[in-house]
Amino acid sequence: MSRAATSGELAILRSDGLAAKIFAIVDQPVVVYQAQVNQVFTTHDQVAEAAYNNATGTLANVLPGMTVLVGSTPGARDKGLARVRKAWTGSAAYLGEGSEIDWVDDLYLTVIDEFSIWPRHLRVSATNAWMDYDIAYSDQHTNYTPVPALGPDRVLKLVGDDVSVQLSASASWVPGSTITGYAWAVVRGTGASLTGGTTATPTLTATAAGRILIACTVTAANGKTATGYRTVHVYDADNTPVEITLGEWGGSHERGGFDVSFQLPVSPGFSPRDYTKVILFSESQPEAIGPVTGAENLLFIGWMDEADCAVDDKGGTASISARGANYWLSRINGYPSGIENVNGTPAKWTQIQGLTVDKMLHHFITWRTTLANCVDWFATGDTRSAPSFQAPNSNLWQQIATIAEKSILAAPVCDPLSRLRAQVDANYLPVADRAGIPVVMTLTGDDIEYINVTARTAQDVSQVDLSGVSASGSAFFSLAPGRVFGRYGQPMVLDRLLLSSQAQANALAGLVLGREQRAYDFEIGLVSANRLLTLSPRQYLEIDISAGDTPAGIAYSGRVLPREVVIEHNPETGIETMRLVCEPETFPTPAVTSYPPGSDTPFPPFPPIAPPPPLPPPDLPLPVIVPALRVVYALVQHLWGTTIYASTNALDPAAEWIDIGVDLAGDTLSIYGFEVDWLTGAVYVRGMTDVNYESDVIYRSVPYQNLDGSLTPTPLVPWRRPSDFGRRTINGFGINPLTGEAVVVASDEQYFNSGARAVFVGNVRSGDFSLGGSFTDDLWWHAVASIGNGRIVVGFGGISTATTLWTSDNGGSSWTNRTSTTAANRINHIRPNPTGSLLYHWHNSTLAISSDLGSSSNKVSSSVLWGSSMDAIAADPTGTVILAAKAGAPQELFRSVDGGLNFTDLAIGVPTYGVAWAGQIDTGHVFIRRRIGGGGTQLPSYTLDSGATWTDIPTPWNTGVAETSGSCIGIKVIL
Amino acid sequence: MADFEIGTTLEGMTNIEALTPALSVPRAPFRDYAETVVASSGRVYGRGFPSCRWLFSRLNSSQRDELKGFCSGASANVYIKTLANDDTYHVYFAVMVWPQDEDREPAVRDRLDLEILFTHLVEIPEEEE
Repeated sequence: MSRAATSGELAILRSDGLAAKIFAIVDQPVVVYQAQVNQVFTTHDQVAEAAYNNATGTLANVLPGMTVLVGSTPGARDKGLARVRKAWTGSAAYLGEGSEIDWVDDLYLTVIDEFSIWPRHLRVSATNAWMDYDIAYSDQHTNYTPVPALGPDRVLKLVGDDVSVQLSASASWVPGSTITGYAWAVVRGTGASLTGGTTATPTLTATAAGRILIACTVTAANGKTATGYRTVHVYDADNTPVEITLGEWGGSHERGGFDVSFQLPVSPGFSPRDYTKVILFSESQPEAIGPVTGAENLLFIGWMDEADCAVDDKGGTASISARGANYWLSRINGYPSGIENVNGTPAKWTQIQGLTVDKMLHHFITWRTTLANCVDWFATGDTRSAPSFQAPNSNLWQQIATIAEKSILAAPVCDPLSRLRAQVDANYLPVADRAGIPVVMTLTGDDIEYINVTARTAQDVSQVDLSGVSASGSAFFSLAPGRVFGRYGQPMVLDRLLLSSQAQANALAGLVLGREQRAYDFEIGLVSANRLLTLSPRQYLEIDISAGDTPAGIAYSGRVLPREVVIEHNPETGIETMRLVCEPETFPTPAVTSYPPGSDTPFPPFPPIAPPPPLPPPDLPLPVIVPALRVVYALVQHLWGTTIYASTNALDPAAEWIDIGVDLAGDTLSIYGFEVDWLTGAVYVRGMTDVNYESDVIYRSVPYQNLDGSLTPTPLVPWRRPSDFGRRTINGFGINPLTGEAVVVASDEQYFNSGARAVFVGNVRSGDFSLGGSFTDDLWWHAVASIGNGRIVVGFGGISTATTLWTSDNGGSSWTNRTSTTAANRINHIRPNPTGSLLYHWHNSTLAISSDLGSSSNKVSSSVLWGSSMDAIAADPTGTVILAAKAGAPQELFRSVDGGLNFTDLAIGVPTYGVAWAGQIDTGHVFIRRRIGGGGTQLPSYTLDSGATWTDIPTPWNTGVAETSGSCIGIKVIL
Repeated sequence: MADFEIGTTLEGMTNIEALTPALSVPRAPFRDYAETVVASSGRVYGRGFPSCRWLFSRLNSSQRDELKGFCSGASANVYIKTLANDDTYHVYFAVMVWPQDEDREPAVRDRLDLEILFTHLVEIPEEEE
């Protein structure tokens, strides 16, 4: 924990004579076992074990997590590094699964007692998943593995006969249980002994200089155990460590941790190695002040970055660069990780009951990394429940950040000793929750050598548009400072957060904007380096600056947060100084509910709906709470979904497809229309069951993604029945996939007839709807409805009278008949994106395009598209590139690249029955379509070049099961 | 007798006047801090390790070699006892820096005005002496 400097420490910092010598320890792990590979490999790929012989050493000394040097000669590592995955047998070496070593018979394996950061890869088969190659799920998400927190490595100076230090594993923790036991051990080290080895705080005594490896196995009340390892380095007058010339010691919130560079004298033949642990410590006068009791002398713990090191053999010096855990986690790529919340005992790796950010982080860091072997890490303490989390394929650090930051704005940050902590930023905490954050020291003019105040005169953010969901699926939307932008800057969109209430959403939006609109940042030079000042855990400095203290004449009094910390050291004088970049404590601005779910006035006055966030480009990394679903095809009697999505080259033809719509207790469903909510991934299907003949019910399914990226279906269950609206049928249904705003058309007539039509408006995320208009237009069974960009558009298909199209710009309070300007005789209409004003519809059997959401429209000028209705149409979100499939001769696919002014025949040769825009990549726009195949089957296919060439996508129904009865209702893509 | 001492170990320190050959008592200016830093309040802090110099106005070759024996290279870690600015003797662990230039008297090779610099002085508490 951060803590306030004591009065004694402040007196030292404000005294004369402070000086320090800085030393480096480059860890020299001990070889514990050597052997030779005794196996012929057929592949280097996915190797996870190797037979061996010719072993020397004690097999029991080989511990999971240790590093294995793989080389062509004894002790060499020219072939690479590996990790001991689990205890070895006398002839089998179990290694972390990898493909980077070219395994051949007779290679030499050298096991060293080094524990560093490794990935633990996921392995999946068609139906099973294992962590770290062969760990099957049993109860790991019910009885969690404890997290050992042993504190940092230590460096002790031996003066006299012995030296002692109290260690502590008191900070060890476990989700849902308590730590009940500690078992410390000296794994290796001459003259080292422990007293109180079964307590949280034993005493280690060393009687000789050297390297000691200690271990502590913590036991949880649930019976689970975990072991952490640390090194203790003891030196004396005859075995002095290497004094260094510090080049750079610094860290920043933005980087997420600390790096160092330094020079040191080295012996000939010194060779830097990646991942070698480096410890910097000091001998300080009159004494070292630091955050860890018994380890105040430590300045840095990290691992050598070989790529940034250089050795001057002639000069006998080496320039070393070492980086903290955050950097090494960012160097390691990890497979995607996804967890969903379940009500009940979890049965597999992808399930957690009472899912929180911390449980997700625990799963990820415990099972996908070896971080806890070598450093402490701490979770956020946040208890908000989440429906699911996903960490897309990325580096481990980014995945941790995605889990914590994209959901609750908790940033992972390592301190200089590589201890990782994910915390919500202090400026994002409600003011009342900041009381526990310590003020490390109050800076006075005696402490400050200089201070520069950067005035932030031009605000970057004019409005924070914040939204998110709760575990129950409720959605909350907030705008700060309100619906009107600030004078300067751009809107900042924070979406898909994990929220517990609308009040919290509003508070957080105000806090975020308050931080973005802060007036100053500070750069402070301290006379004395105070190592209690760091980036994590949260802490404050208090400053009181009068106008005369700063060049800009700016006065400030209050608390500030360190964002960047740099220590500079002059080895000739021993002077250690510190430079801080700080951000002031900020306070929330006002914020308003941008759309109050369930309220009586679902739409605020004009502008009726706050400008939705810009459509994300398809190559953005996936945010944390996202639906797994990417593409949905709907056939008449089947609904298929897949994880295929189009970002860069992500259209994976081999992706698994699942049927998400046939589990209706033996019944089948005729689908009349469907919608997809981009935020929650929910699929809404309007249809009629074929056996029970329950007419026009809206069903809902929320498929979730498995660890291997596949989808698991959830049954389509009735979500809204006509009786919920006091009517006999539901004839139309549309949603805004970004906001969840929805419109339902219901009536008392099942088939065509005149009669009362009612339009209900609401939001699928809150589930609340209210009457938004009544009509008497003819209705031929189905109506179409859409909502977005401030406008509701409803069309009633006529059979005895003209088709009519209505729009409302005020949430259904009043309506305008657009029939005279649109005169649609087929009323299906399509919005190319939910935020634009474009609308495509069929006008006298010809494609028409409206640029004002149906207020008026024009037929396309390409006469080849006249005189026949369209089977399908899709456009990129800007409406520039359009693909239109014509139903009548020529039954072909046409393309416009100028927004519909001109169309050309793509001459595909087979009819297209559904098409959807899926993204844009370097080679062009990606579209997915459904085409007629041989024998009457229909095949999905995709194009990566805006329609010029198409490739079929293998699906269950065209790779074994012919689907001949279905006809494509449409395709929808979640962007 | 003055109380200037030197040794490569704490236990092996010897009064320089008791060395063989004996050294004369040097002038020994002492600097409490490497530098001073001015805080924004105007307060001046001494920062960095103390240092001191031993100035010998004349050392013959034997005396010079005796002293050089404590510092075979450009510098060496030594223990010294020297007079600090409080006019009392203190024991320090120090870096002994041999001068780059040595001035000689041409006739007899005596060193003139030899200045030995001791930096990074870390005082050894009395109980450890």
